[in-house]
Amino acid sequence: MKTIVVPGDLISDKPENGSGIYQKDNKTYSKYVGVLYKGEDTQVVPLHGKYTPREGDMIIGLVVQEDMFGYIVDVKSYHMPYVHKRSIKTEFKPGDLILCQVISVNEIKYMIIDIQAKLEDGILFGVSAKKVPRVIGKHRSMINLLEKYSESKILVGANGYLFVKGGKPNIVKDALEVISKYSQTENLTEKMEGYLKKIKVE
Amino acid sequence: MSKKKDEVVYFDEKGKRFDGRSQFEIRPITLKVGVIERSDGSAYVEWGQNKAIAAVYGPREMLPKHLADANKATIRYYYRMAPFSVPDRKNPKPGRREIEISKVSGEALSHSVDLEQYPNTAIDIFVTIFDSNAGTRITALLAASLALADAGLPMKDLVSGIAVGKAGGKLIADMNKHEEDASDAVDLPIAMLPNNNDIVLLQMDGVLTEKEFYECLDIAKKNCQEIRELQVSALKEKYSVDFNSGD
Repeated sequence: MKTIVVPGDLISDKPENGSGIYQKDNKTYSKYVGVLYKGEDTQVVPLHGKYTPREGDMIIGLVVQEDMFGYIVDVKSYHMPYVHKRSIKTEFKPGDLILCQVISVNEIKYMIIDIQAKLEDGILFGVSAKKVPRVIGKHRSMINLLEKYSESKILVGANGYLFVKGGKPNIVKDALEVISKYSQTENLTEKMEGYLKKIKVE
Repeated sequence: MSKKKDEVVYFDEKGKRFDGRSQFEIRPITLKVGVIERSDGSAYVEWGQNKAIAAVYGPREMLPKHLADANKATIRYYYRMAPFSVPDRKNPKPGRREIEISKVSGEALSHSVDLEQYPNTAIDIFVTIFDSNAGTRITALLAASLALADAGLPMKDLVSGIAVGKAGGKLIADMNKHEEDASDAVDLPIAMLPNNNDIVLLQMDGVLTEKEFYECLDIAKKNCQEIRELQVSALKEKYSVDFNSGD
């Protein structure tokens, strides 16, 4: 069983390096509700939260607004990036899904994105951005499993948006709910396979 | 002391209070995390008869933009009482009391959340009181603090608190409406970060001696530690689900 800590939980009696923690009076405390990993670096990996942009990430965006000079895109983050029309050739309208890459992020988490492609004929699903590694799995094991059982093509954005094309998207939807709920349990991929087999029989 | 006919009794012969509690006993508390699906974080708290539900949205873009703080996130705390939460219907328009409580509670939470990580954003916290019987601002604060932690925001510590006070000449913990209306009543809501007992909210209504005040602080400190344990177990409960039990 993984150890779950909450903000203010005492992790160590001496100051330690790592992420998701803070030091006070030579002691180390947790900063998030998350899973504790103790190794060379002490880490508290948050279980929930919005997408923190990183340079080079491939993300899926939803065009929410158009004005004279560009588009406002929702990427499930703290801010909505703006894409200038003169930097792109295709036209979009609100509601369109786009695949984009984060070009740069500044110190206040504003990002510049580059639109790579328009995503058409598919469905958008969302999970918490902090659960994307669970949705992909080790060496893409989880996403391969989902593609096998749902017969859909699945594109996972680092921001927690998923684009699902063809096949049985309902299976993906149910599976994502299960992943979100049980993401902190061990051997999730094996359990998921059992779950998918079960609903296939039904 | 001779008893007058219509004198209100706050302690019976056994030292029990009006609702059967002992002097420093608090009302039963239930906490639940993750109750509103479409919010970023949410929590529901029942404290005796008080019922509060809190939802957190954000950090998100601050609108109107000129209110944004370029150095840190802004907490916008909305404490609202439902019209049916009090015996007589309450006008749903936020009144003087609600605006004040929103201000002080938002400031209390800003000492816990690491706001510097999210410049130019707003964190909206909506708390609605469904039922009230004294001590709703602390109930709301517990719910809000749980909802913030549930939203995955970086925090120093959970905020916990309690209203201590005085009725019938004795200091008491967690008073109810009946005790709050006593002629010599003192209401002292205190919220703190239980790890190092940092006080983040303290209001007082009534008159206390200095000695009584410090006694009240000690009662609050002790109770905040216990309430934090309840908050921690509520947060952990959300993630202690077993895969085979559901679905």
